[in-house]
Amino acid sequence: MEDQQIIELFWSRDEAAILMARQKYGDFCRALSQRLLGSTRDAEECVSDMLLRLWSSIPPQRPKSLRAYMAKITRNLCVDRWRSGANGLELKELTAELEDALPGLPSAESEFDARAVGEVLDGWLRGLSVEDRTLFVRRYYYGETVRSIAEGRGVPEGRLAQKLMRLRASLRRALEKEGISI
Amino acid sequence: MNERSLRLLTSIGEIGPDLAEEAAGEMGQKSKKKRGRRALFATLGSVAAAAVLIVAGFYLIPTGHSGGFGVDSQDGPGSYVFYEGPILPLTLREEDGSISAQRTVTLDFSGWDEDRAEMRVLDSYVLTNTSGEDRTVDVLYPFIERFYDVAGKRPKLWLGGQELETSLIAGYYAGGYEGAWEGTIGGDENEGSVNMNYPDSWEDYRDLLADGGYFDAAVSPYPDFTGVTAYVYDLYDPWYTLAEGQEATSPVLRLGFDLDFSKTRLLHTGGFSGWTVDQKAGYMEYLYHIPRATAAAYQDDGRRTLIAVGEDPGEPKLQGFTSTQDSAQPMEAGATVTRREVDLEAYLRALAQEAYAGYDGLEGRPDFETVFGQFKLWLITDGPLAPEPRERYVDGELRFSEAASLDRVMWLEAKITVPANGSVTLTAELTKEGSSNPYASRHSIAGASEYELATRVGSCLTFTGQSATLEDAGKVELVRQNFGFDPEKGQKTVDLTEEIYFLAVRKAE
Repeated sequence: MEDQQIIELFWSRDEAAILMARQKYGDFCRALSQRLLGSTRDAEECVSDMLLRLWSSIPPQRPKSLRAYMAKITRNLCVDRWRSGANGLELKELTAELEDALPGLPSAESEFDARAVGEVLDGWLRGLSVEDRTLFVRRYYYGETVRSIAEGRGVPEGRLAQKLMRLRASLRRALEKEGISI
Repeated sequence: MNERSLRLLTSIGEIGPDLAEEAAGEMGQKSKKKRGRRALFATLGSVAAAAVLIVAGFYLIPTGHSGGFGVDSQDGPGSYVFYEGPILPLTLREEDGSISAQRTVTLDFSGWDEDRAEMRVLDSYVLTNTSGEDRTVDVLYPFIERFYDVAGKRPKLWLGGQELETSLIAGYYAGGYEGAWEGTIGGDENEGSVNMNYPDSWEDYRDLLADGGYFDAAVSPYPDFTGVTAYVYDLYDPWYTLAEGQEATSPVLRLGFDLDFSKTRLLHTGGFSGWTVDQKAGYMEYLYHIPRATAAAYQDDGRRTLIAVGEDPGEPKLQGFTSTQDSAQPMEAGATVTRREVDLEAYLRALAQEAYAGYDGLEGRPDFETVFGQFKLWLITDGPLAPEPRERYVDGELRFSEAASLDRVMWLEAKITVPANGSVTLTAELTKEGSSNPYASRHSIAGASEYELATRVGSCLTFTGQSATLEDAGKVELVRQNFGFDPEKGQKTVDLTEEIYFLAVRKAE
């Protein structure tokens, strides 16, 4: 079934929408959750929670990409779950790596503007080559390991690790260029 | 866990669904090299949305960028956000009037693609000795790079058909610093040094290398902190207790020191989520977020480390608050704090070795002593131990990764002998990434890659002639240039007489 048809099922409050969404992208979201949290049980619970959120957010939402929307909800749930006590070795690794991308430490009075950060991130990503952009998103959005990406692309892992280091430095520059505090 | 990193990670979750979908589409594809088209800025609208911030009625866009698509006819190098610097000419450590050079540069795009935008360069010199005696000279081949990128980007030098063994000499950071809003329209009043101001034109490198002082500094001994005592404070096992009815939305410990800033500086190894300093009152404070559930919840041992250099600042003051907001209430909180005295050199060396080990182990990376030496130089030049630290570094974080990611000029040095009344051919082989720009501007084209070639900058050699040859292999379209190449008419080799040449290309249709 096409994504838009599934979304129409949600809009018509047909519970088959949940089944179809789960059938189509449940494994994708479970794998994402498993990667980020490292726990099968937590991953299953995240997917269940995600489907509930999906049901309660469509309508009013009408996502253009159902997979991306489901992945975003799953990811947010994983981060919330990690913050409240779940394991999250990969999330720990990701946050450690992203320290390279942080602009200068703000004063205590500086305010974090998530929307401004999101806008700069979006613009920065769109300025990258497709190869670099998908590398960054696969690593820091989907939590895919460098090794897995390298195997998929058929390139040495070390080269991608170097490239990611460079991308983090580039992101930091972009954030600083826009005067962003985090 | 670093709260700020988590914020950034969370923000990454807010990227456009098309970007998330694009990457998801690539996942699961096995051993298939993805060669997508560069976005070519069809999405310029959203890029501009990211670049344009509206503050107090000002449209803040990077100066020099018109936001339009056109490129004016000005025949000068472009203005780029991601600037890679020019290809620089060979030089000698000591000027030698009996050595002259004929230079031939090949700009090879046969392996070029949009994603990598790397041009292969063969920079060849016929070095002629006009004296009646053999001359042994130290040749220096300069290149602009960051430590992070040296592995894989380090040029190779060939003498005849033999690859030369070279040693690497690293210059200090080639740029400066600026305020958060400098370089933006309406932002000139906010001067400062909180952000990096990287070199963004060839003139920056020309000026840097003009008098030889930059190179002299590069071959000077690095600072040595042996014998300097530092006081290391390790903080761990944070705790807090809430009074009845009290809620901690973001529990935080404030760690304060009474300091005479002229006598004591504080450093830290990261993990703090903010800081305040009051130089007049002689007080510095760090914010230390306490995990809300347990330390394990954050996969974080909760350990933070502060290092005091100079006069002993004594014990820190610890105060707990329910959050960092103005409405925060004091609460009962604390942490275990241990204190020890260390030798600053040995302590920093151990930290740096740990960070260096985290580097990818590719061949060609700078040796540890060079990276560590430049890190120490950064500490006392611009960093938290400088006489006047840049605003960016006032918090005292030991940013090893910062020192590794700064643009700098480096040289490969080799000793060669040029026979009496004879010549040798020395060739540098390198890849050069193009400068690029996410914004269309008057002086650059979004999506194009621009390469610059300097003919004399920083060189003490006497050149008898220079020429450049283009090997475009039909891969690239020349967008703008001042070389004078005209591939359609077969004009692929030109003599070089100007100080700087530029060539912007994009994928040939």
